[in-house]
Amino acid sequence: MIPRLASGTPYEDVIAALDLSGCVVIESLAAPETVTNILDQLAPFMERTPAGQDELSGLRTRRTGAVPARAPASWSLLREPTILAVAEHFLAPPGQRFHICTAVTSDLLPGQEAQSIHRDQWTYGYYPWPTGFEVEVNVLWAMQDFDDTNGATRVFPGSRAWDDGLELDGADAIAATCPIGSAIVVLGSCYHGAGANESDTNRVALSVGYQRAWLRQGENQYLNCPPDVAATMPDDIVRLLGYQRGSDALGYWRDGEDPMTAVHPDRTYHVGLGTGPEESNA
Amino acid sequence: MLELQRLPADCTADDIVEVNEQDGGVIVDGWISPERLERFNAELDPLLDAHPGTNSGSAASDAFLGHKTRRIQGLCAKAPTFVEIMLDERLLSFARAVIGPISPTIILNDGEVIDIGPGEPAQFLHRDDDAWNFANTTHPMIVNTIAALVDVTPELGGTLVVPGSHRWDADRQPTDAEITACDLPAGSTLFFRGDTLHAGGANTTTDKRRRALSTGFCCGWLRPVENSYTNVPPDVAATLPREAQELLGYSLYDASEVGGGYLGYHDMGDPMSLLGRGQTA
Repeated sequence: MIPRLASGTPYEDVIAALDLSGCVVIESLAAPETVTNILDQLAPFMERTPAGQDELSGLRTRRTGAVPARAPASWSLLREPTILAVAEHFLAPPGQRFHICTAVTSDLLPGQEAQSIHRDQWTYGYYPWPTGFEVEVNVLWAMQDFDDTNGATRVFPGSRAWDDGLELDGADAIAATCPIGSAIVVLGSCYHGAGANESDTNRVALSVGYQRAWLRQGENQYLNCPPDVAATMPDDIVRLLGYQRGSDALGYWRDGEDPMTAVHPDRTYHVGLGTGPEESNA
Repeated sequence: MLELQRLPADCTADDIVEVNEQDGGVIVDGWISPERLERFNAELDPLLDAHPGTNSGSAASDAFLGHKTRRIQGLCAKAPTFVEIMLDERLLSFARAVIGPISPTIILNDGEVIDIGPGEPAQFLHRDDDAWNFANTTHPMIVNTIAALVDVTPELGGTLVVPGSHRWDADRQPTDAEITACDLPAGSTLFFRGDTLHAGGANTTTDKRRRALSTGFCCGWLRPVENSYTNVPPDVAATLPREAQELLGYSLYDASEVGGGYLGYHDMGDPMSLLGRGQTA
């Protein structure tokens, strides 16, 4: 069973469900108008995106990145309070931080086969993450109704406790069907994969991954959203993109300054050890 | 007192790896040639003269960075000779040998000139792995080097190292007798692992500065200390050799051969496309 929670469910209950299952559907968390606005802003970029080059990427899947820089309407999803509370719980104990790993649309064209079942924490390679230690929280926003035929994400609830390196058959997984605007939250240790799109229309998800801030990001946010672009965006989004140190000393700009100084050279951002940021907008 | 072993300038990468594995650190004498050293120092002089001083705004950070210490990063963009030093094939082989078991590729963690002024106290002993100390690793995630750019004696702040500490439990503290201070004539270089206890030494002189270069490489899937994308932006990186571009992070991290995925996309493609072809090394 995938836990299905209503929009407005307290984040503590979402965390409890994730602890147990490793995945959860929060139904209709985003308004359909928000979804429409995001898709409208991304349309010119999605239209010119080619399909993937290999099976894992999807030979009939178009992945469009740099969403935060291209679609201001996406910001309300990136900073959705319940999602941020969940990410903080799993990724950032006191004194630590998390940031956005990827914010990418995956547009499954009709005929896209099911993705192989995997754990998102495998991305980094063969580093053996301890069981129960989460490095990523991935949120798949349904940009339309997800059903059994159009490629709803297939998940294995409870699989975060399973052995690593399993080769699982997607036919045994459960499809996370849900209405438009729902958020499918999948922990990095939960086995899952995109379903096959057997319908005759595209299936679009906005995949927003959060990760521990000492890890290298899936998208190079500093190139996707360079300082001059970041300067036009709200500070909280810019920090989520990685313009903040990853721990005491990761991600320095220039000779040891806070990365926000690269975005706003006219401001003073002080760099401190431990929790921060210690900043003053002088 | 325990001393680190010293290797001659013409040692092999295997020699460095082997002694490092045994002691946690090793000194290679004459690593940087006099000619290269003179050129590099001439590039650094104006940069250090213009350094505004340590003022991070945090007392804790300032104490660690050093009130009388001048640090320069972004060296690929500021001091061309650094690129030659960074691309030394034995240095890269050493880094890949140590980190390879947990990461298919390496990335530049930092290239930093650390110029310690008179009267600066010693740093506290630390492990460079501690930058990622939440990863629960038992394997080093980084290698680092300290190259002396002037004659560095223990009095001038030669790096303090605890040989063998790469095999210790995290909470074991060394006795004074277990700490050695490196004596590094200009050009000599300390090679050590991320799990070896070390610290910048105290500069007890009244009138001399300790100028050294730290060049470190970490796992390709980790976030480096230095943000090379803002420090060495694409238009500058485009002028560098291909291998330097890759080490700065302008290539995709690719773990597909070991069942993993990719990190570091630009527009869901290889950031290298931003740089044109780069120079052929």
